[in-house]
Amino acid sequence: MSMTGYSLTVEQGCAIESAMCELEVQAEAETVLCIDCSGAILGQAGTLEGHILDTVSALSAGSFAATHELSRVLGEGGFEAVHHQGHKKGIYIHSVAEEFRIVVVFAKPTTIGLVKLYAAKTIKEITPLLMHVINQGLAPMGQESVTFDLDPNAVPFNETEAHRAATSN
Amino acid sequence: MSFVSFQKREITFKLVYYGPPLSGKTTNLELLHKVIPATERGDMTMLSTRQDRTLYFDFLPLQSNAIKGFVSKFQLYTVPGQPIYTETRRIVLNGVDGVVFVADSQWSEMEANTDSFENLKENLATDDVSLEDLPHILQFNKRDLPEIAPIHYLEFMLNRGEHRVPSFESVATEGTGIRESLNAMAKLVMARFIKEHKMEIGEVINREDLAVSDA
Ligand SMILES: Nc1nc2c(ncn2[C@@H]2O[C@H](COP(=O)(O)OP(=O)(O)OP(=O)(O)O)[C@@H](O)[C@H]2O)c(=O)[nH]1
Ligand SMILES: [Mg+2]
Repeated sequence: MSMTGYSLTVEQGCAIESAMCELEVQAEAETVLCIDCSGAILGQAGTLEGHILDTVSALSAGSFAATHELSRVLGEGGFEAVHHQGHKKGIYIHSVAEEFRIVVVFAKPTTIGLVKLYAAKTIKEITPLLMHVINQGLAPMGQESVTFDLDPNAVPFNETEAHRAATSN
Repeated sequence: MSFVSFQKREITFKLVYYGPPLSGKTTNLELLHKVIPATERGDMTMLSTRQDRTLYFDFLPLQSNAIKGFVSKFQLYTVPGQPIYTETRRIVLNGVDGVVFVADSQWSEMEANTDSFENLKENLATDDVSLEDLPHILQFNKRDLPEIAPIHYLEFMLNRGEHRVPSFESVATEGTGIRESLNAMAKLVMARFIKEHKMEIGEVINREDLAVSDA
């Protein structure tokens, strides 16, 4: 993958989201995410929404990376999947096309067996698409007309009352 | 590694706060969390030891409208500064778009600053990234303390690459200089992204022209 970045076209984004929806329904999962190895979200389905998805994604990417590294240090050469089971909820993370992860958050009565079964099917389906995404870079065919403009005077994060209060002592 | 979703009209950037032990990386994120309105940020997550030392990373998601027609998401991470966690720092750096190097201005920490700076270069090199090519800025923190090095000294120690990078003085505990650092970092990263995108569009159009003239 290029160091500077990659992108998803509208069609690719829709294809990933519908694959996530299908997995969510079939595995009766709570939330399903497709993320990259650094924690950016490509698509999701399920009950979680908003910034908490960013947190779940960052922690899942981190958890997978740490376990993967651990296995490498132990001479195992890297795990393909990790599974954490709590009292009520479980989380299953599986790598796809090396650079990406599928994250499934599930609760009883769904079982890990069911999740693994349907996740395997989804992974098989989206692998070719994700392999393609890796190679197309930042400006995929069909999106050439989209340009990005940065207002030179725009301040990404403006000063707020809270900031003035925090710094005025 | 920026990521664009044309479907969601979102661009995601990853920023990492790097630096020596106890330089104030976690404090930067804590104060940003405090001063940025809840509509532009999520909750902060800290993976730390009982003594408040970062063990794996801290995480704070932010979003801005600085690029027209898209939501720009900035995922802020810190690394653990303690030397033993170098593998962990390498993992957190994976896919980084910009680094805020938080230096400790105290005289006693000069060696720690330069060690950490070298460690940053080494860790990036394992992913074939050179710091020269990666948008980054310097933040000279703890300017409120008595035994601190003057700015020109810190610049001499840390800002001696071919291209000078922007630097900021800060007192993270009071929130001074942290928003300025973030904004400068965010702008550099977005400018880089827009430039790379234009170059790639040029290539795509060239490819299409070739395809047409071949036919
Ligand atoms: N006086 C002063 N103290 C600061 C400043 N910034 C941070 N500190 C203090 O320095 C200590 C360490 O700050 P942290 O933000 O935890 O440092 P860190 O870089 O995240 O440390 P590690 O995670 O262990 O690498 C805390 O006690 C902070 O309150 C500053 O600008 N001035
Ligand atoms: Mg810390």
